[in-house]
Amino acid sequence: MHKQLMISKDKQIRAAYLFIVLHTMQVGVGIAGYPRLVFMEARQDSWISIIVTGLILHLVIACMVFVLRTYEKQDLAGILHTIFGSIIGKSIAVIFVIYFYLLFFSVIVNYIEFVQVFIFPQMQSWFIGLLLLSLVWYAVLGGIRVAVGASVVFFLSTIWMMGLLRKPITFIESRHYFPVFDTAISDIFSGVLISSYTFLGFELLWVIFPFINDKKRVNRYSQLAMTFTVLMYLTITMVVIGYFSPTQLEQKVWPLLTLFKVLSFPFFERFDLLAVAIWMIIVLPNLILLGWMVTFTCKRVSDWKQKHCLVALIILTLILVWIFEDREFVNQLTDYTGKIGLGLGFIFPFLLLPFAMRHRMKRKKNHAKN
Amino acid sequence: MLKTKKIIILLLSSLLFLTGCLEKNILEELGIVTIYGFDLSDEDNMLQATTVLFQFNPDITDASQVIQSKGHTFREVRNNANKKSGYKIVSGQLRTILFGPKISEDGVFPYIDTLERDASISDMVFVAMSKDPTEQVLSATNYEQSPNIGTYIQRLIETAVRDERLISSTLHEFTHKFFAVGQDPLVPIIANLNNKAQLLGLAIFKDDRYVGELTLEDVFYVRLIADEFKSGQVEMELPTKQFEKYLKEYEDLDTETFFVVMDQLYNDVNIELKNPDSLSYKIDIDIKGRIVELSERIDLQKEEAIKLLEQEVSKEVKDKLTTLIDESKELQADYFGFGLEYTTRKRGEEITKDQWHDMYPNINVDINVTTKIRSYGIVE
Repeated sequence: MHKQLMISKDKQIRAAYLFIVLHTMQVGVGIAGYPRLVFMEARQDSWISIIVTGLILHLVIACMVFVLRTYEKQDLAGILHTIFGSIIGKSIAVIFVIYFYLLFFSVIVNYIEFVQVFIFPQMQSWFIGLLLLSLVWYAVLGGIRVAVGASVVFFLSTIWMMGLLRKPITFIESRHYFPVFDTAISDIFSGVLISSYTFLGFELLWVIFPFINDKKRVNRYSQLAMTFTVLMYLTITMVVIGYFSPTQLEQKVWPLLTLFKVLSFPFFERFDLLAVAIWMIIVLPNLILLGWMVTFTCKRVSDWKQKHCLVALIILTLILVWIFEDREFVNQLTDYTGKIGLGLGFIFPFLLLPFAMRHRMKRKKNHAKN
Repeated sequence: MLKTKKIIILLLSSLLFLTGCLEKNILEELGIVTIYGFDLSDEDNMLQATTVLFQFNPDITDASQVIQSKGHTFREVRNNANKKSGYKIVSGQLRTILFGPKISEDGVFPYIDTLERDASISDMVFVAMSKDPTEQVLSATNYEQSPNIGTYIQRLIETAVRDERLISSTLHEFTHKFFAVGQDPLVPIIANLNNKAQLLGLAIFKDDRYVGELTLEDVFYVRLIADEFKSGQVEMELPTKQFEKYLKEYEDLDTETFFVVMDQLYNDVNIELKNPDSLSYKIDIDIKGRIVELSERIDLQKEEAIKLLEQEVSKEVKDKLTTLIDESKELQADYFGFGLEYTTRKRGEEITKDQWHDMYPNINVDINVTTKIRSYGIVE
């Protein structure tokens, strides 16, 4: 494995894109069901959970950037190699590949379930999978610049949907937010746990870091992306809590989509159906970037060509989508992935922190000697 | 290499055409349901539905089709309805759900719930009830310029809601109130009079069961507390006696009461739970409006006359509200939403809907109404 990644200038991207890329990675299928999950734990005090999660998120990002800066031009696989040596480093990297793949797979099955419930109950899972994966194939083959470019376009073409909340906001019953501070600390903490699953996706930073042109600004834009995501989740959750009565909310699997059921325009009676279709554009950047992450890290670990990894990824996904069709499985997988993500996404960066510090100290000593 | 590329392109382009293999819905082959009427049949307590279909076909002049069917569940009823129609029945354009008298007394929630779970049904569907079997209402043949009775009833309700003559009860609002602790739904009553469907009043629901009724005149007072007016209208009956000295000279006093009509009316309401233990509420209502009609000619240039009028209006509102609240206490149906205020103030313990229904008759309400008349038409 090459220790140092050499990335030519024409493959690099500007740090400003991190803002959009990290944000789109965090927003996906999860957001449609998230408000209910956090509400079931933290009730009307959900906003506290979200803000606490946001603060933790900022800390994690700061830690990741610190570690990445220490090893300058390395990605996750390279860092693990430097710290733990070839064998252990590689095995940890393989765990990450599997984890990234689980994220990828849970995104795709969740979206497929979505389409089947709302629009095409008779459409085969593998068929929807094929349609999505053909786009993933195209974008990942184009390399990181195409993947990032696609997310920017998709971000701009979906962010306007926040404006659709205007109508549900008129139905808000403000009394649902009271009494404030009525939830037990332990429940707020469970809310934080649930939220952290949903905010996963920032691990992209581990892989994309060497590709960034102006590395000094990485921290600024990544932190901005986190703030933006947290604010977005906060707004959506607050609207949902105000719109539904508590017991009603507990029954909605996808409250955000149910929210859109009140939308109706003179030229478009049932906007909620369109929303599900548009959701694909929200999900695609997730799939593309995750696909790129999986295959790139896979290439770094195994010395295979990225293209071959991609073919393997697509075939494997098609087979798995075809085998696992029931909803129970989808839910379990999502929960499971979230739990792994809590360890690998949130806690892991802090484990690397002491190694990075030692590395910096050594370097300083070397400098002093010279 | 070139060959594999060609194959891939071929495969991908085939995806384009494969999309045609999905379930097709051709507009001319669909029977689009605009209204469902649900009843419980008298003999065997089975669900009985009146389905009104709308068909897209340029050759048909009368596009309204009314079908009766029976079954144990909503699905069965719908399938049975489909046995009587050559069109595929779809409910994506449903506008209103009408419940008959018996089913309303029994509880409508199971049926609301089935419809709510159906992703193809919009949340903006109106919930309404009728005091006659729904078939009777839906067979009315005079539905103005609307394409059929379903769309007509929807317009009927929608117009009244927009004019603030009614409290909106869409599927979302109904379930919202049904699930909320401390609020009960109100639903418009539709009746067939002289072969035309019209609004009769509002049905009071306790949870999901019909328990009482409000007249359309009462709706104004309920709205004062439960909702808000942007430009409402009201007609009130006030005693003439106190206004004697402000009457124009050429008027002879021959009636005991006279009528005032106010419009451009908006309200500001503040509900406060003074004491959660004794359940004492304090309600401040500010009404601002304009006088457009008086059945007696009162000299409105005198300031005292207007003052008196404002006072009398406030008093009338307060009296009406007190009787309405007393009536709702008797029914144990809290359609004003006082319980919501209670749940937001009570910390630490959660109460159930039933507990609130038991507590509701014990509430004390102190009402305070201030009226401000802004102007009085074009003639003074």
